[in-house]
Parts: sequence; C-alpha cells; structure tokens
Amino acid sequence: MVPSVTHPALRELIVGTKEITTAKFGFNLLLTNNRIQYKKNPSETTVKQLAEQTHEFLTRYESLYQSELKQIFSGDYRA
Amino acid sequence: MLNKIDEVAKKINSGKALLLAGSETALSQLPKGNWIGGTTSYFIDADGGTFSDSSIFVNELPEFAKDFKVSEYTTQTLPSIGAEAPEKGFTVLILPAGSAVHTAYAEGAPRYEGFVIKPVVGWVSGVPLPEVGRTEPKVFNGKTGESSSSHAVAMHVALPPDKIADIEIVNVFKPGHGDKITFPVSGFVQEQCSVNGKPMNFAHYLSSVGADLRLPLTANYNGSVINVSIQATEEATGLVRLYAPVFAGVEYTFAEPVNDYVAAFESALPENRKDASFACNCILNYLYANLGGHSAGSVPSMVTFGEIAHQLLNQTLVRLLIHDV
Repeated sequence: MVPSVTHPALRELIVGTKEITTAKFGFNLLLTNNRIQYKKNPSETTVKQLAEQTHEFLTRYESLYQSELKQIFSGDYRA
Repeated sequence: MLNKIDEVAKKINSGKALLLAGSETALSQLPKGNWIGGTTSYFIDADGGTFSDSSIFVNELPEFAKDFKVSEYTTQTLPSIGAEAPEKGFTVLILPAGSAVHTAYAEGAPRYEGFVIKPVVGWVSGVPLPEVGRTEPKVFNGKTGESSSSHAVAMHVALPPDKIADIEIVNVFKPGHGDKITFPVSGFVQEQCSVNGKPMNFAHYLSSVGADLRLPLTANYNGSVINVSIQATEEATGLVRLYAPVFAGVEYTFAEPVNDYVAAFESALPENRKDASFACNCILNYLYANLGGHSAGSVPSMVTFGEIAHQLLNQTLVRLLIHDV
C-alpha cells in the first residue's frame, strides 16, 4: 500500500532533495514538472498540492511502479 | 495497419471503435461511426515508410475497451479534457497542426487538471509537405461525420478494472555536451535565450554556431529526454519558430547527431516489445532518417506532425501500452 500523502518522502521528491532513478516516462514527466512548479512558487501550499497529485499518481499506478515506490518510501512501502 | 477505404468502412459499419489517420480525401469518404481521425499521408507499415492519399492507417481499440466517448474541444474547453477523461483509462487526442488548440494544448497541458495522472496520447494532424501553408490539416469526428481545422477531437476510453494504460516514448536522440540553453519565457516562438548563462538572441546564436537544425533541442526530464524541434529561423526578425514550445526553467542542449536512425530505433526499443495499442512517429524522423521504403524499429505507426504523450513532443515515437493489473 502506498504510504500516506503526508509521508515526508513526497516532500523531498518535490523539492528535489530525494532523487530516484526510473526509465518510466510518465513519472519522469510528473517529477520534473513538479520541480519546475515548485521552483516558480516554493511555498508549502505548492508542496501540498503537488504531493497530493504525486500520491494520486502513485496510488493509481502502484502495480507498475513497484521499484519506484521502494526507492521513494524505502521500508515504509510494502507491495 | 494500412487499410483501403472500403475495408475501413466495413470495420466502422461493424461498430468497431477506431483511431484513423489518412488524407482528407480518404477520411471524408468514411461513414459515420465510432471513430476519430486526423489527416496525414505518411505512414510506417510492415514494409516501411510510405506515402498514400488513398489508404488509411487503422488503430482498433482493444476488444475489452467497450466504454468510450468522442468529444470535441475548443481553446476554451480544452483545459477540461482531464476532468472529462474516465477515472481509469486513457484519452486519445488529435490536434490540427498550426491551430489555436494545438498551441493551447502544447503550452498549457502541464497545468491541466489530471495531467499525467489521466494518460493522454495522440497526435498532431498535418498535410502533404508540398501543401503546407496552402491546405489546412483536419481532424474528424466520426460520430458526426464532420471535420474541423480549428477544433481538437478526442476519444475518451475507459478500461476494465484488470487493465491499466501507460505511455512510453522511444527517442533516438541523446542530449549533446554542447552549450546549455535556457529561455526567459515559454512558447513556440523565441527571440531571447541564455547560452551558458549569457543572454543573447536565439536566431543569431543558431547562425553563429552553424547549428544543425535537423537536430532537436533536448531537455533531460529525470532521465527521459524530451525533444523540441526547430521549424525555422528568421534572421531579419531574430525570431526562431519551434514545432513544440520550450519551457522557461528548463535547460536545453542540442542533441548529439544520429548516424543510423533505423539502427538507433531498433536499439532504443525496449527488449520486451509488447505490441502497442497505438503508436505514432514524427514526420521529421521520417524525413531526416529517409524512412520512405525503410522500416523504423519494426513499429507500424502513423507519421504525424507532433506527438502527444501527456504533453506535445517532437521527433519521438510514442506508444500506448495496456497492461494487465
């Protein structure tokens, strides 16, 4: 199950302090656009909004993103 | 696959849901039904790249995709495309090249509700190259039988619970190691840029370095490479026109040259080449790689004037894959 939307790893992913390696185009597009938006407006409101979108994406595509989820949430993610 | 017009008409009359690409003359002859279409006369079939005004490239929706809806969009309604997409499925979008909806989607899609979360795949329709500027690219709404050069047309497709859609790109270009270019504003037309942090006129920069304009600008999106192709430079006005917008805040470099496109496609395709439910490839790849009569990575596809994989791309092979959950 994907950890909660308030998990700190999502914030780290958005602000760019956590990096993950993936060849999956959809996630790379989402991640890069998130960082562009955060750079334009580096507020906690932006982080919250982008974290919600990222969480929704990962929840929808959980079955395709096992490797990425393990990288993002480490031991907090179990398939 | 390429089909004759009467063969496509039979498929339509049998109720199949179809994504069609062909000339305006060919698409205009089809009966109403469950289809959307966009104009192009260039294709890559089993025998390789080909030009045809009388054949139609057909993508049939998979049998399990029984729940679909055709919608048209204007620049005003296009931002709601994600909201209208099914909760679980995908959307196929066709935009007429050079139209206001083309520009609106290319520049605005990353800010639309549901961007990436609800997959949008598709293409930009065009015309035979000698007719560019004289004939308008069209999209067709098969439900109404009408065509448009100003509206976008979409097919929203819901998937059953045991299926999930994913969009993959195959890009033969890799970022080069040359100058790092950024732009102060996003858009299809650029005047100013910064090269390695130094502001300058973009057209003059391209001229001064003798840039190979067949190569796209590339941006690294966390390992996925996104291309932006150059349409024209205007030395007199200092403007550069692009086939997709560049975005402020993104760093671009020119791609490394590709010596053998076909070999590059072959090696860029993933090893597990699951058949795509939909694929399109770029007219610039067709032209610059001289694909007429040659195969390109064994992926049959329509040849388009811009590719949509969530957002507008250039010089990229786009594939829609549907996985079992």
